[in-house]
Amino acid sequence: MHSLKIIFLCLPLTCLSSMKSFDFKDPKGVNTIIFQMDALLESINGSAGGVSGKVNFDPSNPAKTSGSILLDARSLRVDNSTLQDHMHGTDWLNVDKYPLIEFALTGLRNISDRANTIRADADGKMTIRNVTVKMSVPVQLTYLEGMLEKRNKVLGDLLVVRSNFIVSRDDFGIRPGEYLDKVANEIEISINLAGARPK
Amino acid sequence: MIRNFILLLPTLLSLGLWLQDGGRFSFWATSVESRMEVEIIEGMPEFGTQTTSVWEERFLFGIETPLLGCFFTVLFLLISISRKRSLNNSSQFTLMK
Repeated sequence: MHSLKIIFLCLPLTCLSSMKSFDFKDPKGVNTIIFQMDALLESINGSAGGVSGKVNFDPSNPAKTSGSILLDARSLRVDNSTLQDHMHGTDWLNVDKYPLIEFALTGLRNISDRANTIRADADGKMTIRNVTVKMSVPVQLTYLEGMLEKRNKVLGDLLVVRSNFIVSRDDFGIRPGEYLDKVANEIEISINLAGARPK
Repeated sequence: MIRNFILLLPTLLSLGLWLQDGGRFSFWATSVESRMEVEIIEGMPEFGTQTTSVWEERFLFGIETPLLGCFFTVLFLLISISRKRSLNNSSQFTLMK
């Protein structure tokens, strides 16, 4: 009876052990999120480098992938300082009050596997300005076992996450329906991030 | 001839500045973004690349510049026409006297 209890207690731990936690705070500072908005009068392009977060990934069971990718909203940059101040300001992203943009990943669906790359639809919740919206975005995960050493001179694995998707500012209450001629409603986001799991 | 050239000078000058900065159909920029493709693992391009951005503080003329140039050309043209007309009127008035 006692040994059965131990087995039951250890079972979840055994399941978790194959889960690998990847940290997306890149010490090399390469991880960047790129965004683009194509409005009638103006096209706004920019990027953000303040990426962090952890993703738990099991190469033998990718459907159970979970975790979150965080973006420091203050790191969002565009090529015009006035435009950037407006974007960070209280009327738009209000980065002082809501400094984090989060995509909380709950699982993967429609998985197709080829070599060390997985294509799937990632289900999760996107939070911008404290407004959370359920989303499903196409992702491509590349698991590079033992390759961290070659990138960061530390023993471990790498997980590369690539995705291109669109979010609507209407959905997050960012001046819905306003200034559509200058600031497009649809924001095209492109991510190409490398997460590390040191051993 | 010289008068016409002076009138066109704001347009030509602004157009030159705008074209020099790439002739972008966007507004003035106070910083420039350079996007680079960095190999995920250095020396192993087969594992793919990552796009990274480097920002440099630099002013770039936008589409407002040639528009402002055109505005000043039109403004100077209107001033010149109105001056010409007022001179004509005053000379006619003198002749009538």
